[in-house]
Order: sequence, then C-alpha cells, then structure tokens
Amino acid sequence: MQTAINCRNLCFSYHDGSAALRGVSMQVTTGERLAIVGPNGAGKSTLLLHLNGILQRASGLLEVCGREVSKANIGEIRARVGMVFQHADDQLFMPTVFDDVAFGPLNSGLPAEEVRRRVAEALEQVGLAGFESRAPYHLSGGEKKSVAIATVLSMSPEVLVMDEPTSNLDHRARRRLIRLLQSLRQTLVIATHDLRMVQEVCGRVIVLDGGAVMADGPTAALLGDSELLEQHGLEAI
Amino acid sequence: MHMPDVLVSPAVALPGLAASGALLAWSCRKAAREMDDRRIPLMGVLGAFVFAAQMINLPLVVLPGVSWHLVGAVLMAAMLGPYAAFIVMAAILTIQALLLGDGGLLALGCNIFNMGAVSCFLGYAVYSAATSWLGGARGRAAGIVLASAVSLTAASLAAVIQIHLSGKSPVSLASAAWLMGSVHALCGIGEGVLSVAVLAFVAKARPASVQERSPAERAAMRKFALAGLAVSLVIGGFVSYWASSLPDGLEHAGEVLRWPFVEEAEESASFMSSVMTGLLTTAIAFAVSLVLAAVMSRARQAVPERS
Amino acid sequence: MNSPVHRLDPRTKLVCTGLFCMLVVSWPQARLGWIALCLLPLGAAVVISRLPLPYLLKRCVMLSPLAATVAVFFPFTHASGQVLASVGPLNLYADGLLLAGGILARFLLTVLAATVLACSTPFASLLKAMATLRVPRLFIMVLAFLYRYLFVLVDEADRMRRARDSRTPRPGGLGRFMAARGMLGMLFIRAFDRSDRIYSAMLARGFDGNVQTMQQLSFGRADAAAAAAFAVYLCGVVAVLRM
Repeated sequence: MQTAINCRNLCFSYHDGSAALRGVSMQVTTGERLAIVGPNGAGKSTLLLHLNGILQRASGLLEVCGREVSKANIGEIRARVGMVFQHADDQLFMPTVFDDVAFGPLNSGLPAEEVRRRVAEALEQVGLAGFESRAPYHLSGGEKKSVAIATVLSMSPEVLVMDEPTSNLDHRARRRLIRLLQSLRQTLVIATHDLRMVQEVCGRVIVLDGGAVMADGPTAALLGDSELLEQHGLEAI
Repeated sequence: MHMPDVLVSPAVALPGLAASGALLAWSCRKAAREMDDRRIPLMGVLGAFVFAAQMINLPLVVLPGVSWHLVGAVLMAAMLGPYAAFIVMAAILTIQALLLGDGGLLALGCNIFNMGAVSCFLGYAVYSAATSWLGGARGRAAGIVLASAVSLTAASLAAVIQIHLSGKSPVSLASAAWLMGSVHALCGIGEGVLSVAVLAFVAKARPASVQERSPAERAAMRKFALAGLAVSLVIGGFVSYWASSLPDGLEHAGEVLRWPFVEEAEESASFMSSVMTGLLTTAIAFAVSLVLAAVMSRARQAVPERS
Repeated sequence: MNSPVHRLDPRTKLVCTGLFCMLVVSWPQARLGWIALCLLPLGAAVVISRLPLPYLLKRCVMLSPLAATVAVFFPFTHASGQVLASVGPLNLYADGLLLAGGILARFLLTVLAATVLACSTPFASLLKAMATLRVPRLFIMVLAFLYRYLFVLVDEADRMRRARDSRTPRPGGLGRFMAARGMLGMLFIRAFDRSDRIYSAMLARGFDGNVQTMQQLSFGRADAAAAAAFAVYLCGVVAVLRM
C-alpha cells in the first residue's frame, strides 16, 4: 500500500499572524477516501490549498504521491493532484466547456488528439457527454459542478481534492454527484459539512477544529460519536 | 460617446484602427513584461466590473434629465497602471461594439483611441503628476478627480474632431467642442469624485488592492507624467496647426450658418479659440476638483464611516 | 440557433461585414437612391440566417439616439439648396434633409450588418478568429475573461440594485450617490476576490503563464462560396457607381 499523502506537523499562519494550521499530521493511503470535517474557520480549506501548493506551509513535512510539495516540484504535483474548488463559477473560466476541460491537459503539453480524447472521456465520466460547445454561464448548478470535476479528471490525477462538493446542489444533482464520487478510483480528500454524504462515500474521517486535528478514524465510529460531533460544531446525524 | 460607423469616414476610421491596433500591441508587450500572471484574470474581471458599473446611472444634478455613469478608465489606470488599463478599456469597447452594437465596427479604432488611449494614458499622466506632486491620500484623490475631468474632456474633444474631419458634423467645430467639452468636464468631475469614493470604500475592506506606491514606482510615474505632457503638447500643437491651415471645410458650415444660437459661437470661431475653450474648461475643472478633493478628504476625517 | 450563416467561419463573416460597412459609409451622397443595392447582400444574410427581422430592427432603433441626434440637425444647419419651410429664424433645407436621410439609411444598414454578425457568431469563435489574425494573446485572454464574467457581474449588480431599491432611499442626489458608491464598492471587492479564486483555479490546473489554445476553425466550401459571391457583388456595385 502506497502513501498518497504524507503530512507531518504542518503549520501555517494567516497574513495577520493568527495561526491557521497548528501541527496537522495525517497519512492517506492510495485509493483511500478521506473526509475532513469541522466547523467554519477550522482550517479545512486552508489545509486543502496546501495539497497542491497554492499555499506554502510555514513548517512541517508535506509529501504528495512520494514527492515533496515545493516550488521545484510544483508542476508535477499539480498534474497529480486535482482540486475542485467550492464555487464552480470560478473554476469554469473559459469560453466553452471544451476549453475548460481541455485547459489542464493542454497545460501539461499534451498533443491535440490526446487532449480531445481526454476531454471526451472526462465529460463521459461525469455524465455530460456532448456538452463540449456549451457556454458555462448557461449551465445549471449541478452541471457546473460536474464540469468542474471533469476539468480536473481530464488531467488524470492520482489524488482528487474537493472543497464542499455538495454545497448549493439540489437533491437530484447531489444524488448524481454522490454516485459519481462512489465510482471514482482516485484517492479522495473531501472537506465538507455534508455528513450524510461522508457516510456514503468516505471510509475515514478527520475532525479539524481551530487548525488542529481533533480526531482521526473510521467513518462509522466518528460519526456515531455525537458528543465528539457536538463538541466541534457538527450536527449529529 | 461611442461613435457609430456613419459618423466616421473611412479616411478617419482606418488610421484610427491602425493607431489603436499599434497601441494595443505595444501595451500588451509592456504589460506582459511588467505584470504578475495574477493580473490576467484580474484585468478581465475588473473589465466586467466596469461594464456592470456603467449600468448604474446617476442623475447629473446640473443638467436635469441627463444621467451619467462611471466610465472607469481613470479608475482602472490608478489600479492597474496605464497599459493594463488601456487593454481593459479596449476589451470593454470591443465587446460593446461586437455584442451590443454600441459603436461601429469600423469606428472601433477611433472609439478605442478616444475612450481607451486618451482616457487611460492622458488620465494616468495627469494622475501621476498630481499624485507625485501633492503626495499622500489627498494627492491621490485630487489626482483621480483631475485626471477624470481632463481625460473625459479630451476624449470627447477627440471624438468631436474625428466627426468633423469626417465631414459629418452639422454644427461648427467650436460649438460642438464647447458643448461636448463642458458636459464631459462636468461628468469627469462626477466620475472622479465617485471613483475616489469607491476606492476609499474598497481600501478599508481590501487594503492590499489599493497600496501606497513605492518610491521607485513614484519615480516611474513622474517620468510617465512628463512624457505624457510632452506628447500631449506635441500632438495638441500639431493638430491645431494642421487644423487651422486646412481649407475651410471645417469652417464652411460655420460661415453659412443662420441659426442664431450657433451664430454667437461663430463670432469667435477659429480653431484656436476652441482650443482656448478647452483649456479654460480644463482649468476650471482643475480648480473645482482640487477644492472638491480637499473638502472630501476633510469630510472623510470628520464623519465616521458607516458601511 | 443554426443556419448556414451561423456555420460560416467567423473570419469570413468579419471581413465581409467590415467591407460591407466600408461600402455603405463611402457610398457617394449623389447616388443615394442606389443605396438600396446594399439590401441585396444584407437581405440575403438576414434570410439565410433565419434571424427574426423585428428583433434586428428593434436593436437598430435602440442604438440610434446618437446618430439620430446628429442627423436631426442637418436639415436646419446645412444651408444649401432649396428652402422647404421656414419657422421664424429656422429654415428647413432640402439638401440638409437629404443628408439626414443619408445618415439614417447608412446607419440602419451598418448596424443591421453588425447585428447579423453578432447574432450569428458565438463569441468563443470570434475569439478564435482573433487568435488566428494575430491579435495579441493577452488582449484575447482579457476579452475571454471579461465576456465570461460579464453576465455574472451584471447579475450581481442587478441584485444589488434591486436590494437597494427595496429599501427606502435617502432623498436627494447625495443618497443616490452614496448608494452607488456602496454598490460599486461591493461589486469591486467581489470582483477582486473572484479574480483571486479564478487564479487559484488556473494554478491548480497547471497554468504557468502561457495560455495554450487549440485551433479549431476551418475554412470550408461554404466560406469560399460566400466570399466569392460577395466579391462578385462588390465588383458589380463599384461598376454601377462608376456609370
């Protein structure tokens, strides 16, 4: 079993000096599905942004897919770690769906034929085959979310990182997304408030609060512990 | 001020396209070299902001029934620098022409020149001069108001001249210049005051976006201001010399006008007098904007902000 | 919407529209009657593109204020030719009237042509056309982002305006000014934050400063046919005008 993410004692502070992450440590094996839960301001998004080097840690060790996350490796890291942000609108910034999904592979320097193939495959995987020439503005919320995931899948990442994937989705779109997440083979790291989705998709949960890891264990055990959830601002299910 | 194709003859439109194209290419090269990659989406989104902002109409208190809106050129120049601002304004004008039909396709070159190049470069030159001369927040405020007034007036005068050179103006150059110039000077002051107010609002929430300039940047701004001033003087001098020596195609309409209103302006209808008119308007705008800026910065200190 | 005109290469349409507008704008005033010849290619474009004419005409009317204002002066100030009517100091000149008519006719033709172009060409393909025509890449990127987020920000501005309108406004100009300042300030801040998020998303997908694009335009037989037909038309018109 290989380690997809190796994180030891990660520390990070905001511009104003307040600590965002205090000594976060976690190991994620390849193929594992991890949920990171916690109250608002716990540092979930901040932690995620370290995984592909958008934020640089102040101290600690961080390795993804066997490579240290640093400026020198950043191209390789970003080719292997696909990040889906919370607001789909900000991820779909090209004129057409095709352009958006092709953005990643093109940046990797792949030839046109290969790019076209990957785009078709990615759109197929999220259930939006044939959407190539649509404009992002006219898509529904669920469709935008799916395209956002496709833009990342087309890069064939090893690790998929998602920030609040089910937020703002109606029931049908959320169902479709959960089914999609269940079908993915990649290592998943999902920051979310949607504990029901976590139950269906993720095998392991880390509770983050105040920038530190409060609990780390199997989904059933942690989500069954209502005291723990209550303590860290989460609603027991 | 978006000129449709009918008002601009090909003899004026084509050089306009060429000039704007050249300026655009040059600005893109300069901006690409000086800018952080982060600026690229910022330019696009700020362009969309200006577009959306132009939808918010305000009444022109002095002339009832007329409304104005933010043009945004000087605001962009103050935030992004002149080259990036010009690119943004050119993009806005291109979309307005291509998608909305606001401004003709052939006339796009002239429109970009007037509302993009003149507004951004001349505006930035004036802004730099005021900022580096007066210094501090007050200088910045005064700079924006003055730059808005001057650049909007100059842009409108450029449009008037272009329509005249195309032979498509029904009134004399002097009267058109006087009317357009004064209205736009007023709008420019309003735009400047609004821009300063918006920037003050933004500075509190996102101080990173409205930074104080470093000494190196201030020196560069001073150089730009001087260069801009020199270029404007040369162009202004050249244009007025050339225009005044043109055969009276320009003054033909004025000579035979019978409409009493315009006749009065015709008494003083030489090109130099319309240049004088423009300068006078600018001087008045300068004085008014300095007073307004002083009042505004004092007012801001006296009244606590309620956001 | 789909039609043979929609499917033409955007470069063909751009060039033809540009040349058409030049023709219309340069049409000699002395042969104004013949300007109806311009309806030939324009009419063909409208019919083949299946765009609704009432909609096209409505857009022309909406865009006309500036041209109409300028035109309306000419009958009174262009003092040559016959005087048709006289009211006090104002005289209505025949030549001036013809000039005004010429301006309005030319306006209608050019704006209709530009509207057909805009409605039959998706913006994304216009951007690709510009890339092939060697327009600077930075400018194209700014255009692309601007267009993409235009509707998003206009929606935001609309929502803010409605929220502001539903609150009791402070009376007078100052109230509206302060409201505008607040709206513009919020819009600006949101735009600023949004561009930060977009940049992060770009970085996450491997953006390193160079935008790679894929050329997808193709010049087909329809384009060659359209270009040839238009060229023939132009030669014909020039010949007629020379007569």
